[in-house]
Amino acid sequence: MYDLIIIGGGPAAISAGIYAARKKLKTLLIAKNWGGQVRLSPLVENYPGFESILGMDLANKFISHLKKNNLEIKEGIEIKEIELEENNKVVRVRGEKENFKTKAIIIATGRVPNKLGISNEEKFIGKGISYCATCDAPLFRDKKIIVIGSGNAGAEIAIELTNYASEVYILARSPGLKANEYLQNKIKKSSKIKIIANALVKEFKGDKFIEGFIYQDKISSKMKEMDIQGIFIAIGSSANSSLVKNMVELNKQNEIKIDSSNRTSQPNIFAAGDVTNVSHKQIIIAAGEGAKAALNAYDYIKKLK
Amino acid sequence: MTEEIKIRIFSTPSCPYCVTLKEYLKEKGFEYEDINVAEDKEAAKEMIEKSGQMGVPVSEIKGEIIIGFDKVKINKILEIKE
Repeated sequence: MYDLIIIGGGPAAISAGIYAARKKLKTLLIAKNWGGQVRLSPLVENYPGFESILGMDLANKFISHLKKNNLEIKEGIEIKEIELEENNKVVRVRGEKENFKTKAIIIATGRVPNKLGISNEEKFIGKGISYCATCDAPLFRDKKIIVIGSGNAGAEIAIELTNYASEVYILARSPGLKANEYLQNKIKKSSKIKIIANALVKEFKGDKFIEGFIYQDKISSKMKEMDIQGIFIAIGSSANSSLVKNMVELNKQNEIKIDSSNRTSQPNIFAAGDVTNVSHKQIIIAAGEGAKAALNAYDYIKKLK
Repeated sequence: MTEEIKIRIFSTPSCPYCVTLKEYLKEKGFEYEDINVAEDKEAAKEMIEKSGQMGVPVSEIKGEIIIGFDKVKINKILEIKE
């Protein structure tokens, strides 16, 4: 039996892992993948000590720092189920094959990108549709690409794509871009980026790979078709809280409700970072929350003895 | 002569699953050829043709193509027991 299991691979989980190890808790950290949202951000310029650092470089520093500590780590494992046992005193965590028992758990599972919900969206994931520009942008060299979503994330992706793509379109549901002024100015200066406003995506087209899509012009209600070789979807993200949705209280956005000590409504379940209702989803905040969750979990575990 | 296991990983430097996959293989003591498709256009083409996939990571292990970090499949091919 472990003292503490941490689920997640982003800054909240990694920081929790470092603090738990230093408190000498028997700790297991389970990461489906490393880096969380940090790795998706092209450039980080607001993390103290690093004036300007690539998201992936900061994430790599986090990971190697974590691995210098004395804790068990399992990577590439997806947790399927969490259960309470022995009068809710023990938490059991199940993966596809393996399962583990722990006195307390920290949920730091972050966020997952929202999908459009169009019927054949799944079919084209990896076949021209991507949710991760920092991962896949270089594969779309000299191609005509559309970015769905006109917020900061969509704008950043469009700008990133101009390094590779021949043409980049931003498809906005709203009459204009919702991205901040700084990004909008960058977009105005780029000759490669064009904006299609007031548009609703209706259908994707293609055989093996994506070849085009149909959208509705909200003003004229007319359907329009466009040839395209790649689609990046950036319409926000949701809290990845489904593992514990029936065990702890969530808010309306499905974020895990925590108090100032990272406690959820279940005493041995703690939560930290972007999966929680803490305000502002920032790397520095997630890292701080992870540390706090580990220290409070430590206090909880000590009282059990 | 013992047969050397040939592992090729097509990846970009910034994708979370690529890093996790590479960390995993390193931890299990396997060596691999790390192919950065962000730099190498020809390799990017090869990857898309072989896998029918425009997303990373793709790995080629003992001639088999694996899409994403499919741990179950990788464990099977490399006979990794966890």
